[in-house]
Amino acid sequence: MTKRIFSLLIVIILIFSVAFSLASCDESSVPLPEKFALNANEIKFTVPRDTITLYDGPVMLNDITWGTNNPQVATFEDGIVTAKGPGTTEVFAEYFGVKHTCFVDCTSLMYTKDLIPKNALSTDEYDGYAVLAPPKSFDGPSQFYNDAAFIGDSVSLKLSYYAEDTGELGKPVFLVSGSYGVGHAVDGTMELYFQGKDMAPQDALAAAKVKKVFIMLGMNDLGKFGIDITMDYWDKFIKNIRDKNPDISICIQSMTPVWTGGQTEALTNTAVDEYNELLKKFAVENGCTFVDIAPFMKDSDNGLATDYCSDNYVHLTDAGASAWTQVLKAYAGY
Amino acid sequence: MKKIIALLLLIAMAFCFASCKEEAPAEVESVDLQSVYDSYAEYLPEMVTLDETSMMNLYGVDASLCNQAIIATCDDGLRSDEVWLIEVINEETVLDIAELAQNRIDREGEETKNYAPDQYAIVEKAQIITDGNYLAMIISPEVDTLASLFESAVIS
Repeated sequence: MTKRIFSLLIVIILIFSVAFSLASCDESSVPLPEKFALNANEIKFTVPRDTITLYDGPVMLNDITWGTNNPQVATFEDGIVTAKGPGTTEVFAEYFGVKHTCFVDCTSLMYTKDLIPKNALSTDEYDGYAVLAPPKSFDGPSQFYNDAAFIGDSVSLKLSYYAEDTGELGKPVFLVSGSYGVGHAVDGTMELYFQGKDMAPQDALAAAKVKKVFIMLGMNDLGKFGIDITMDYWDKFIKNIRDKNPDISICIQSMTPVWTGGQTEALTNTAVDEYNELLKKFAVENGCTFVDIAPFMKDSDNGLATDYCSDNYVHLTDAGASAWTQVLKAYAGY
Repeated sequence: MKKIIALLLLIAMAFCFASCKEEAPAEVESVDLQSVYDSYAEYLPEMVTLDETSMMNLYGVDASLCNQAIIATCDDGLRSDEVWLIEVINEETVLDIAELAQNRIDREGEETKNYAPDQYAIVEKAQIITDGNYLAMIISPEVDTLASLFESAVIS
């Protein structure tokens, strides 16, 4: 009898021991550390590749799952959010079934002269050659421009051929046409050519299904219309694009300069500089980003660098297209 | 008697099968358009050759409808030199490609007419040549020479 009771007690104790062990291994019953929460639920970037720390403990960073809905806009690793490109997205952190998100706004990313290196070359040393070396970027083709289009004139036509030849910009769509201008884009007297058909730029962008557009225009407008009317055309041009493509991200590129000896009465580099300043202001006021190509194309006379110029006027050599490409790759970051 | 009828039927069947047998079509040799394009080298400036995506995005040419497709354009953006050498899979699509080529010539003419009159003069003399499944579109100061090289290779 005693042995039976004793055996029964042993069994009961064993059962309770196993049950208790299982209960203590149940992860969901482990209390979360006090401070698993992000520092903000909404953040905004204005500088590409800038970072914000959204979480810095006390949970071990390796124990948290980090993620982003769109790595082309922002990444989130080890508690740090990095701005990658224009747009919006959500980043998230997950720990033991608890998920926190943060809305990231990168719609106002602006590249202006922050691309110019601090140790820019002296203007005294180079005669006719580019004063500024292109910014450092990365090797290999960019992925950033795979869902982008470029709109431009014959200057951009050279970029399109260089891009086709080298693959450095990935696979963007080029909607470019010799003698094209902002005026044509608005009044329809010349259209862009996509898949063998003439189209208004807003229609070509919709047909190409791109998410971003990079625009360099003005060379064929400044001499014809002057700066003020050209800027009026820009207003209508951007509105037309947005009406047809409400979600597209628009980046305006500053216009490249004229070779010093090729300036005309209607097209001077003084006018180009004034125009580029207005373009930058227009971009800020109209929700566009701006990438400043012009400084990297200039010689010490403020004109298109000689080794970048193919025709003593405005068109580019491979070296000029290469410099432009490096600026674009530095802007993109990947 | 039965054996004779069976034999006659067998002979009749043998004749039927013999008459139904199709002749194997003679093999048609395809012209190597890359060789034709290579022969153009001394007559053309530096060119960039478009990949399939660019052929579609720029000109609406669907490479999947072609056995061979070479589209090359002058890479300086200033000269109008351009060459299309295409062999389509089905002959019916040659006319569609020819229409795209004509659109391209018309378009280039519009762009150069006021902007680069010397190039416009070259575009005005552009040629489109078709033969069976083959098509060439040539914009070049040497258009006659290049057209002749294409015709020599393709037209039998």
